[in-house]
Amino acid sequence: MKKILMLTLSMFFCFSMGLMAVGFTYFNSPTPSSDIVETLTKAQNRTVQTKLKKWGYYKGAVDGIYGAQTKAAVKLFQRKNGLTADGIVGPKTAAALGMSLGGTTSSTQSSSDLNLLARCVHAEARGEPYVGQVAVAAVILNRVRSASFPNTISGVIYQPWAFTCVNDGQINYTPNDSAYKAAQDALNGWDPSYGSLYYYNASTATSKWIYSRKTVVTIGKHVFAI
Amino acid sequence: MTENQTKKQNKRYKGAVIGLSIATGVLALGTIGFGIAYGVMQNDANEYGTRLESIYQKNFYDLVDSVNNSEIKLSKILNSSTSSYQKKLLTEVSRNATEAEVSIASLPLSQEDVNDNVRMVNQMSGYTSTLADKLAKGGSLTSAEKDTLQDIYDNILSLKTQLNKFARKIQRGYNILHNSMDIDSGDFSTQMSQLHDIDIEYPTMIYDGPFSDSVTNVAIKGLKGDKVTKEKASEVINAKFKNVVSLDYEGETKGRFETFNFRLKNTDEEMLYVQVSQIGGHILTVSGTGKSGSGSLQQEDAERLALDFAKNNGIENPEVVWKDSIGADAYFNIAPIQSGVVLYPDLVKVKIDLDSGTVVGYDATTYFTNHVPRTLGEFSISLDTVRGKVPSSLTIVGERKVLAPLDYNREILCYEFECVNSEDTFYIYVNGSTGDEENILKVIKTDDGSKLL
Repeated sequence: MKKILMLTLSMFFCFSMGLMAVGFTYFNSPTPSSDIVETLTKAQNRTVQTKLKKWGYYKGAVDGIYGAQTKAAVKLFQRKNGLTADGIVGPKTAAALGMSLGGTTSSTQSSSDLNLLARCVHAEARGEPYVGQVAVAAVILNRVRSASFPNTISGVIYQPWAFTCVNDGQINYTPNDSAYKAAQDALNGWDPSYGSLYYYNASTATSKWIYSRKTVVTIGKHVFAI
Repeated sequence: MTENQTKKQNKRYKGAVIGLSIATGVLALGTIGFGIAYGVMQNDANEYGTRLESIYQKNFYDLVDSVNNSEIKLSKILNSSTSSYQKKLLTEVSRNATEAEVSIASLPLSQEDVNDNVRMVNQMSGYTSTLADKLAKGGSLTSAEKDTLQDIYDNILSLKTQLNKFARKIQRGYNILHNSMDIDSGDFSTQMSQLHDIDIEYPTMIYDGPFSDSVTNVAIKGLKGDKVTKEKASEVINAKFKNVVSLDYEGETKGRFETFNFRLKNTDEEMLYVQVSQIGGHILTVSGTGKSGSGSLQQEDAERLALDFAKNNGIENPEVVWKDSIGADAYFNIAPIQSGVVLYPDLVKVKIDLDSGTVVGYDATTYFTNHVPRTLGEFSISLDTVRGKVPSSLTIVGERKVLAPLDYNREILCYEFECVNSEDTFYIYVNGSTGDEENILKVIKTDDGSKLL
């Protein structure tokens, strides 16, 4: 009798664990997060440089380029003013400098294209060599230019079933520095894939059709093709 | 059996019954709980499915509308003889075609099924807008162009007929989502791929729009010399890069350019991927990240390093024409100068790591695609005359003579004016022989450096 009891209880235990597992996989879909540090615009950098120069922290040119010298000057300013010396002009440092970060008079725009491209690169090719990441970004841009694909970056990336990372939600992961740089390079015209429109992982690709495309180059695990 | 034993057994039996009842009860509760949870999940899934299906259906109906509209307008164009009216309609057809592209690309279709349809509407959009531009400049439609439009019309008409037939199917309850769960063999993909066969011959000489095939199949004009071996290619890299620790062969590229590819590691622990052209043994691209350090190198020094690298790699008479820096990377656009004229079609791009001074990015593919010795011709309008065309609201801060790639595959001699007002910077390009404004670029400030639009 005890055995039957134990059996029933253990069956129930397994059953509830199974239920939990179902619930866990069901609700554990990737959630978006966005903790990207916003960088300053050139105009804002110029304001920072002008102010720091006036107060003797900065000796370089007021060129709006946030280079090493500017960063060092910002760090010095932060140390002298009891702020965290990270070299980043955040809200606190900006307030101490007497400038506002939002609402600049000139028109600035956020790089949502760059961000989207970086997200796709990160989700599709993290762990690949850097050049492989640039090539993935280049394929997306080649598609934008191609007649056979949509004509915007978001159109290409969100085309149904075009990228697995959109289907499984990995597109919403925050991209790392390398993905950003790769996206930036591709936007600047780099294309190590020489006009490729497709790429696939030769060991996991399931579509037979993809093998009929002409291979251009293999970089890391990805085969790039036209 | 003694009384004691019987009592004991009864007690045991009772215990077991109670235990079993509790277990059954809990099990029943669990089942009910699971049932409810499953029901809620199903309910959610159904709701999401319905919402998604609505979006698919909207996209499909949008597509039908765009195709219907363009069919009507194309038939009007074919039966019109007034240029201004044709131009108005061509512009609208171009817009309808773009809308159709957006709708098609939003439907759950596999790449191989959707490509032809997207290509057709994209090229239709490009072709009609090219014709509209021509009419805007005072031209008229030739009979060959009317023939091509007739071709497009025939295709659109057949697409329209079939799409409308399919729309009726959807109205009778065909569910796009359910029929596209398997993207490759789903019924929706199969149905849409059978919509029609496209067969339009676009005259390339007349139509060189953004999606013409001649643009995608550009010939490589600038690569000269014999085919080199992979050993020779690695010698080239060793000669051009300092501090090479290791150089590993990574295979070939067989695309528009044929290259030997290498992975290079230098003493600064930087990894670079270098592609050397098989013809002539030129470094075509370098890709790497740099080290994301503090960036101690000065801009001027980086600029000198970038120019030296370009010169070393056979770029003729190079000059930096645009620079920007993002984090610890400095970007330089370098163009060759011929008799004082900046050759923009032959642009080379260099990225320098501001920590080590290493060239971590290099792209000379555009240069080797386009660079040939050119006969530049004359500027028939003087700079002074043209300068007067710049609006008085702008202050000119720079002037250059340039060869600009303003049209697809077309190069025009222009005067370039860098102008500023209180907030923005513009680049204005004025045709050196007609004095017409050919293009205006605005410098857009973004979170990541400046961009030209």
